[in-house]
Amino acid sequence: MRLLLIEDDEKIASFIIKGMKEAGFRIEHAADGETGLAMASSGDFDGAIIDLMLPKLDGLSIIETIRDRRIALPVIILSAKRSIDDRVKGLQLGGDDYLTKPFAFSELLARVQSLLRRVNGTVEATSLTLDDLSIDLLARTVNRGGKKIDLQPKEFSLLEYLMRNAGRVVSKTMIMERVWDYSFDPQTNVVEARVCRLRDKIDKGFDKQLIHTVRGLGYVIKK
Amino acid sequence: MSSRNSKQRTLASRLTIWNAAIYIVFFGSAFLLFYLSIGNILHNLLDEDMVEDITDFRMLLEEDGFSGVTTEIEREIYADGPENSFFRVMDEDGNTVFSSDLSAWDEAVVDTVLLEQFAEDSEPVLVTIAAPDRDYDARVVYGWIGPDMIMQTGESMEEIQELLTLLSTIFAFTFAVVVVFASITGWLLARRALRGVEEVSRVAVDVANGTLDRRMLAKTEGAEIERLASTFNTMLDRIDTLMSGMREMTDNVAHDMRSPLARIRANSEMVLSDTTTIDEFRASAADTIEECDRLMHMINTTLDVAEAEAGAARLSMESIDLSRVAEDACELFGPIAEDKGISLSSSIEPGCHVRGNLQMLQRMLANLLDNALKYSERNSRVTVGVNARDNTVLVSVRDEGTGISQQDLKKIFDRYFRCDESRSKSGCGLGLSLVRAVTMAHGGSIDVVSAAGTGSEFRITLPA
Repeated sequence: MRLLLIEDDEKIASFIIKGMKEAGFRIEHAADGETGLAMASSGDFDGAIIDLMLPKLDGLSIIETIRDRRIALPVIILSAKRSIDDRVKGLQLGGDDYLTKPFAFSELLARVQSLLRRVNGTVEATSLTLDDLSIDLLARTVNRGGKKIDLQPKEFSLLEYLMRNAGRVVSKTMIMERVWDYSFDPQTNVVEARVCRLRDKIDKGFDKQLIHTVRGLGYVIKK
Repeated sequence: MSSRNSKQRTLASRLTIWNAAIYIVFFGSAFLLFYLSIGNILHNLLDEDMVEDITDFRMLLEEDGFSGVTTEIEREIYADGPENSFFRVMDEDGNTVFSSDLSAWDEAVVDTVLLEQFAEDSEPVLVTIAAPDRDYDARVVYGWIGPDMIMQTGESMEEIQELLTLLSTIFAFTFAVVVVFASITGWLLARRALRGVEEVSRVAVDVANGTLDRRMLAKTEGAEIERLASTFNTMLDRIDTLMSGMREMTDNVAHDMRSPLARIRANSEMVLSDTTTIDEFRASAADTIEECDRLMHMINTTLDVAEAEAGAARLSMESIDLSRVAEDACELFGPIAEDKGISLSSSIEPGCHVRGNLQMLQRMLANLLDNALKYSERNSRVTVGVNARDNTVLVSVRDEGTGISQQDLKKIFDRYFRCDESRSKSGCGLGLSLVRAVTMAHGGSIDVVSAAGTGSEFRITLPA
């Protein structure tokens, strides 16, 4: 997968490039809007991460232009502007997702992967398995080591989200957004409380812990 | 500002000019009408007189013969003076048969063109002749007084024209007096009416220069000015409150932002000492991220409050099932309540819809629940209610927690306000500000019943 990053802030750019390379992406970088537009128009990329405030040509104009040229490049907007208006405008003009700065890299990565999955029409799995844990997405049942585990609906959604991102850290913000449809994080640890309960049901009584807390970043399910 | 003022005329002088202009237009048109009517009437009278003369002469000719006519002509000339009128009797070809003294009437020639068309027995014809060497025009009449006998008589219009000139002079004088009078009264009235406005402007200048406690005095300048003064005073009070609120808020926000920064700094300093292990580095990085997130949360919430306060116009609104939102919020906070040993119950009437912004309403409920749980003790109850009532939806969140003291009650919706007790808990003093801002943006109202020690109930009414 080849990604295009259009971002003028050197530090943020190198941080994203490093992370994306580690995650197995090939990534190229443009530091201004005009270069970015030329590269985006080349058709060599599977997805683009575009900052809104750019020298020479702003991000929204780039997106507008490539949409006018009928280029179906999946785009994630990065922006320091976070009002609902800006978000709506970005998405209306043809952005596929919107992420406000500052952001957690894990969140950007997850959004890129989810966007590419969506665009490439990956066939939805009906069940997910990790080690001896498996969940059936249609029957909404969970098994670990042959033992059935009862989960509440939101606990199931949380586990499903973690499993879909197995091996990757997901932040509290992302969990709030995907599992509860909340676009904000109540400071009280509602997510932590929920993960604790899930962990009690999934990991308790098993030797191997699957759900891990990564301090400062979020949660991950892995072997 | 002052350069603009000097270019623009003041309101008082504009009013004066307008007042005078209106007087001039009305007075001028009234006089013009009067002048034209008088002139018209006088001319008609003269014409009637002259036509009557012709008739008189015709009768005289019939009764007394030509000698009667000449005697009468001489008598009339004697009475009027030969320079003021003239008579001429001629045959139908225009040959003079008899005339009065024409030495002063060089212009009194016979209009032959007119005579050619002048059929016998036709009505008398009147013409005005201009006399270049005389001051006044003359009116001339041609008329048949007998067979083959036409009389031409002329009369100076001196009297009429002199009268009209006199009228104009009187008018010009009166006009001048009226204009001066109108300007003076207009100016005085405008000054008097605008005195209150000037007072307001003086106070405004003082306020702009920093004297925020300056106020308008309530004087009887008329209801409009009094209203302006009292509105102005209310505005100044509000500015005053906002200013002191802002000062307090800045203090609070500085304190709340400094704390995470201080922790980040201390943390990083500690890590920079030589003996730090890689695990300590990791822990420190995690701490830094957490503190950054806390700061970010605070900044974002501040912006959210501002966005909500900017009003409904900036939010995208749709029909929202508030009952569902409340149920979801209860579900979300369920485990927290359970962990704290609080019984979270709800009485939610299903299907209560409002027009609103989903994210904002979610936050409103989450903040209220968060607060209720934060200030509740173990084994107490928190109750969430949603009920449709008439055309409104009532949302209530009640707790049996610590409650709010009377003096704090007024301030709880202020940004960054935190009562002494809340300082020890997490949060940034923005939760209730946001709740109120969201309520207002949805056209609703919020009230709170609380007493220290017995718990609080927040009630929000939203239009359905």
